[in-house]
Amino acid sequence: MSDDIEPNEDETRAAEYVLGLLNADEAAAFELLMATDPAARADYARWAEDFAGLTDEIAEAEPPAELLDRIRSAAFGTAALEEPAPKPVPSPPRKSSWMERLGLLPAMGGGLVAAMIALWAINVYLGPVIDPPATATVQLASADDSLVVEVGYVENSEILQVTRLAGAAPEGQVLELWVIQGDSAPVSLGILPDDSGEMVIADYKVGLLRGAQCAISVEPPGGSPTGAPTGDIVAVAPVVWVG
Amino acid sequence: MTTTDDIEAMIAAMAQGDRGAFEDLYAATSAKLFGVCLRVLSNRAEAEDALQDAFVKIWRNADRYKVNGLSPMTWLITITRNLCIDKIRARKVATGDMDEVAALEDHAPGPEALAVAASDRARIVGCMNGLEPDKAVAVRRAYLEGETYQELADAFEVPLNTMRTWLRRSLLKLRECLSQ
Repeated sequence: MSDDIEPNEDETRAAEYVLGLLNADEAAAFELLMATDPAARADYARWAEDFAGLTDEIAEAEPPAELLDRIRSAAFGTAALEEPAPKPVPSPPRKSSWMERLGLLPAMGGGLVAAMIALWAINVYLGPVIDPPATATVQLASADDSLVVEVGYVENSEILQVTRLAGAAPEGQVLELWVIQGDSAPVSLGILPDDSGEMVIADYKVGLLRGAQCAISVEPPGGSPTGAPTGDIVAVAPVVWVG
Repeated sequence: MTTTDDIEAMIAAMAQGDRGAFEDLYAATSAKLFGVCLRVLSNRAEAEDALQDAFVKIWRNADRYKVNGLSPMTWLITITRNLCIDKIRARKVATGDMDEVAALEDHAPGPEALAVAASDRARIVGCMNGLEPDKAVAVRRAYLEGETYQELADAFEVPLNTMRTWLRRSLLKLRECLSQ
């Protein structure tokens, strides 16, 4: 009777990966396994298909009409208007891919290349598992150092790690984080947590962090109502990349 | 009726930069995917953000779809669900503030929304019924609410290792049922 025995962890790994129950190390190990083991990939795909079936019970809901406009501009961008068929935005240039460095790329069959690319397509939890990702930090401090915030970012993630070293928002207000590319208008990255913590940023904003500056403004509760900073800009600093 | 082949063709065209195909895909699948966002996030504003992130990601990754071995709806659902779970986990970490649950209005899809074939994915629902009720609830909460082993252990008031064993046994039972 299966209730009497300890389940073998390997048999449930793919399901736990799909559910998001593995910790980061375990998930990375499973991704590495999938990169080389077709059985693990098949196991993943089978569980993903089956669990997706749980959404069949969920009632459909029409999104508000204006959301499509927002999505269009997020997906296509403004420059896209002049180009009839832009390709998806390429990733920032990398030193060299780990597949190239390992000398694997020319030797690999299309199937394996495809499978490895598939991991990138599927995965939203982790970045590449072998090539150490580039990291970025921003040290933001107000002129009198009453507010000091450090923001860390690991390439290919959608998480900003915020460390509040000093200071707080004025009573009844919030601090909003912005990214600024050259002379472009600031784009909101969200409201800083009250203390240290993580912020999730939208996928399409990740690319803005290269060669950019960040700023913090004081905003009413809920953040800027206009999409641009409305209160004092209390700190500005460049995004510094390593790797 | 939009078929699986239709959706695949839309994604393939999107991979070539075809915005018309993107519009078609949105018309065919946004109500389904927004339903998933609302169910997982229980918050309209966050659900809208998640749907936006999902469609941007789908647009950008359309050229990688064919190689991932998933059926097109599963690929779309998986991207959407995972983005929602990321948001849930981030909000737990960032604020610990879970009380801002907006009232969800009833937004039934209009007649122009195309039904998407549910295929035989629904067999998991039957197999879930074969689990003990609390085990089925735990599996659902992991998939649809992104709960971790620790959160599930807390919710069911059992030690962490017990929850792990429970869930792994349930997954094995599910696999057995789904393989029949």
